[in-house]
Amino acid sequence: MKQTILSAKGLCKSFAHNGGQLHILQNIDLELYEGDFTVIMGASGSGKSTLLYSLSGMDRATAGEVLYKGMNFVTAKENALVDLRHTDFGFIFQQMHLVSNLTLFENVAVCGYLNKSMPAEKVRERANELQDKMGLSHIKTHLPSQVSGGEQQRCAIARAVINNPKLLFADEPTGALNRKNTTEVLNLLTELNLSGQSILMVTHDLRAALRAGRLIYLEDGKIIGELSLPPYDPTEEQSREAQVNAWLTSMEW
Amino acid sequence: MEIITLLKANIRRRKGSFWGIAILMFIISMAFTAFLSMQKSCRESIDHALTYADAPNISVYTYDMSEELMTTLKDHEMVERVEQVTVAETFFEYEGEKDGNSFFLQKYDSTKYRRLTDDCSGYSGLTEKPEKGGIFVSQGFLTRSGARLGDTLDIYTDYYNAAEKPTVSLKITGIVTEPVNGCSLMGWKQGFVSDEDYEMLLEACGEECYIVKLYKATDCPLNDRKFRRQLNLDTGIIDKAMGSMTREESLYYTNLFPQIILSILLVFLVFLMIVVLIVMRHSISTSIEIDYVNLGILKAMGFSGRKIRAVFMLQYLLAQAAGALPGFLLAIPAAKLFGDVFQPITAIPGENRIAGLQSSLILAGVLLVSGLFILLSTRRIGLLSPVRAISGGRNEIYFDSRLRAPVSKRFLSASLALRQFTANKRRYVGIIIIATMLVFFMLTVTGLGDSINSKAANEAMGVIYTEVELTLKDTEEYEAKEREIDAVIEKYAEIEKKYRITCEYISLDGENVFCFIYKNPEVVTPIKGRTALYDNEIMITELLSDELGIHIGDTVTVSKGDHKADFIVTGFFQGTSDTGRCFLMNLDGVRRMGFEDATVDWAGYSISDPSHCEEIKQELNEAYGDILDCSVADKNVELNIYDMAVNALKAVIYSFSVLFAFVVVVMVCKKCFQQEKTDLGIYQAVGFRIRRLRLQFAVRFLIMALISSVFGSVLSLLFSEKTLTLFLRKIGIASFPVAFSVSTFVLPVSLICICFFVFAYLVSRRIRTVDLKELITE
Repeated sequence: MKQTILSAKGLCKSFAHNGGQLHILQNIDLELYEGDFTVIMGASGSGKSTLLYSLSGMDRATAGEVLYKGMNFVTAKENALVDLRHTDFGFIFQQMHLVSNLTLFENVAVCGYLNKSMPAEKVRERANELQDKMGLSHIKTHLPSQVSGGEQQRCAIARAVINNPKLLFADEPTGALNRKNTTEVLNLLTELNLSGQSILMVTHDLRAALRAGRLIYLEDGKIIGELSLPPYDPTEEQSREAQVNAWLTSMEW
Repeated sequence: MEIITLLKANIRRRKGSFWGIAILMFIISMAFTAFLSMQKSCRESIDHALTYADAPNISVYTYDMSEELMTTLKDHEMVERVEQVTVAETFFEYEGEKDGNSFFLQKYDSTKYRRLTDDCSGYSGLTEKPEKGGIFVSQGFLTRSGARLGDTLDIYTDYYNAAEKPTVSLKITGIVTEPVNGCSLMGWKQGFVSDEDYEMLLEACGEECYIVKLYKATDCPLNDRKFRRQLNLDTGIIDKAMGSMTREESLYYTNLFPQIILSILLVFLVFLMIVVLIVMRHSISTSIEIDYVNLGILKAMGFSGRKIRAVFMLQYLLAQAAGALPGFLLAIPAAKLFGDVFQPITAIPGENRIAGLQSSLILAGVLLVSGLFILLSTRRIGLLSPVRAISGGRNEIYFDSRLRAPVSKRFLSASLALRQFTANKRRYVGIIIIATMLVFFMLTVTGLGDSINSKAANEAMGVIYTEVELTLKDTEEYEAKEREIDAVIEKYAEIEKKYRITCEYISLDGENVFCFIYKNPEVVTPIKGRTALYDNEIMITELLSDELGIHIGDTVTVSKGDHKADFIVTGFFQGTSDTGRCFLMNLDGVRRMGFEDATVDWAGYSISDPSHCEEIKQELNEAYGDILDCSVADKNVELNIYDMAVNALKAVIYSFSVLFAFVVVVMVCKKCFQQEKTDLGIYQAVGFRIRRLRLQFAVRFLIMALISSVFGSVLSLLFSEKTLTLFLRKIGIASFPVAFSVSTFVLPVSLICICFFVFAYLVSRRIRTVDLKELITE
């Protein structure tokens, strides 16, 4: 029996628009499980990213609740949510968003420094370890502007996991990458997941979706379908792709 | 039309920059117009008062006025007319303190000396003469003496009869404008009494004293000073006199202090104008960075670089005009409000003149210079390639910096702030220049204030600073008991310096000049050459050297009355009397001229512990009352006035600096905020609290303020003295030693650092508005 790590009940998000209301998320019920690699898919404007950010506490839902360790993100204090970002959650963005004036190493370490329970020496050790793992050791003193998009994204992943987050949120992490870099990033995420890291990822990319153990399909702010897959095995990629393709076709993707 | 559309859009989108520049220009325009108007008002009010009083070109104060001399004067081709007023030369005592300067009393003439209202806010229109027992004095007399309307002055006709009864006690019943000597910085004063008191005092004086008023012929081509010199060479009138004053000198001395203060403020405003240009340049370059893509799109649409630059120019010129115009209009009431601020010094009500034309021309010049500056600052737009701009814009590229300090966990905010600063050094150059200028000005004016209050600096400036003063009734006896008397003083405090001086107006190559006659010239420290120790030597000030073209080693003729002798100039000394128009000789020199009986009947002591002055005074007056009159010198009247004015100057410069720091920090912060919005979002997304980010933002500005403080301090150490000397030469200080101490730096540096930190922290509230969704790419 999988342990629920985060759950959403009756989650709604709407905006005032031209005198009326624009409903982005409508009454979403969802549970995320520990160790799962969950992927949210859907057409543009279906509310995928809004759901991701509402679940992560970066954005607040209009109604409903997001529960994590007994805390409801809809009503929680801002600072409590901020603290979660460097203790329990990690984030990866499509545009990497590394701080431009910090080196790759510093971009990773600075998040570790926010973690009060980890001494500075340990942070540096872990940052080095992660950079080794991500293949960034040789460029760790470089600034983001001096490295490729793939290297930036690998650095962003290292930053996201430096504090050993319970849940890793990734918003189209391969959206800005070429094929080679995409594969590298996906391999890293898969590796992390196989080592027990829970991941919630939003993507358009079929290849990225194949890495998931659970696929959720969103349309007009509602979950209209879900698919469970066995753990990723690169040797079975073709049959997995066919299965996901068929499912996406049934969702009219 | 397209330019107007773009202009409107730019102003709408960049309201912060627009109003920021407008506010800075508002301050500058208002202050410029107000200061220029005050300058004009001061000068014209003095000039008009001199004209109203029918002030002569030369006023000669003399005891020696023969009929023959009068005839010679009247017949002189350069003289239009001569008037002679008989006055009683007296001395006054107020609240037990006797003033050593001559106090000339005469009858009141309401057609020349206008009565002021009791609060000195304007002319009263009253024409009554003072009643018996009453006296009218100038406002400058009140400022100088500390007396008020209704107070009583004890009048002595003999300076040395202090122990005796005063000749008469007169109550101050009116205040009048007396533009020739009325300024509070002038020692000699005129008072106006009733006809009965006048006659009585003349009789008590015994010897008649005259003010001879000499009016220059309309066709005389010489200025007042040259006219006086020529007249003296032709008739010897000045050599025979106690002293003289030209109309030009009255105007110069009366207007001197407002002139210096307003000149410093106007120079400060010019620096603030440079600040505005730097802020504008910063705003333009960050706007170009932020709008790089949009500018590319505009170019791709067919807008020429020239048109886009025209939009920028109009936008900033409009902002300047939007500030300058209301500033100019508001300066009119402001100039009226502060128009009388110098009245306690000039003793003449201001005339509320507005320097409209002059200010408008200057403001138009400022706009013209700004326009050219904007054109230069927007050159990059002309070079912008639309293809490059549209394809991804101009991403900031950070290069390795040798100043890359490590980011540490312990000082996370500070180290990140330092990184943000070192990574964008060029962006902050402008703000560092601005803060450096503000620190420099604040330090300069603080140094000026500290020096005015410092005894050592005063002495270095040539001010004779004494705490215990002895007026000698019997000089011979004093000199016989000098060691004994010194020992009494040394019982209480160490004697740091002793001066034996007397002062006279003496002619130097025909020029009537203030002269210090030293019994002990060895106390004088020359600033060039050597002290005049022998009886054929004199020293002059650098300013007198410049004016008369006399140099060290030159031989000059010194004359007084019928006596004259040649002297060699041995050196330059620092002297502030008569705004530096003075020279120095020793008593032996005076005797060599033929005044064998000349003595120095005054001694001043500068002591280490002035708290014992009263005890010294009491003991000396008790023990040696028959040979001397000991008094405790209050701080020099001039110094008190300088102190007051410098404090006002400090207040203005500090307030303007804080105001400018505020507007500049707000503007720059807003731009930084726009440029760093993504970084701020990232920091928030990885778990930085807003308070920490705000602190980081503020610390960055604190770092800039600290760097600027270092630069400003170095500049101040190098140039403050030179800058102040430039202004203070007018009052006779050819070299102004600024008394820098740690305390001089503490206030300005902490003020600028606190302002930068606090203002940046306040502005960084906007970080709250960063929406993390901006990081999301849909």
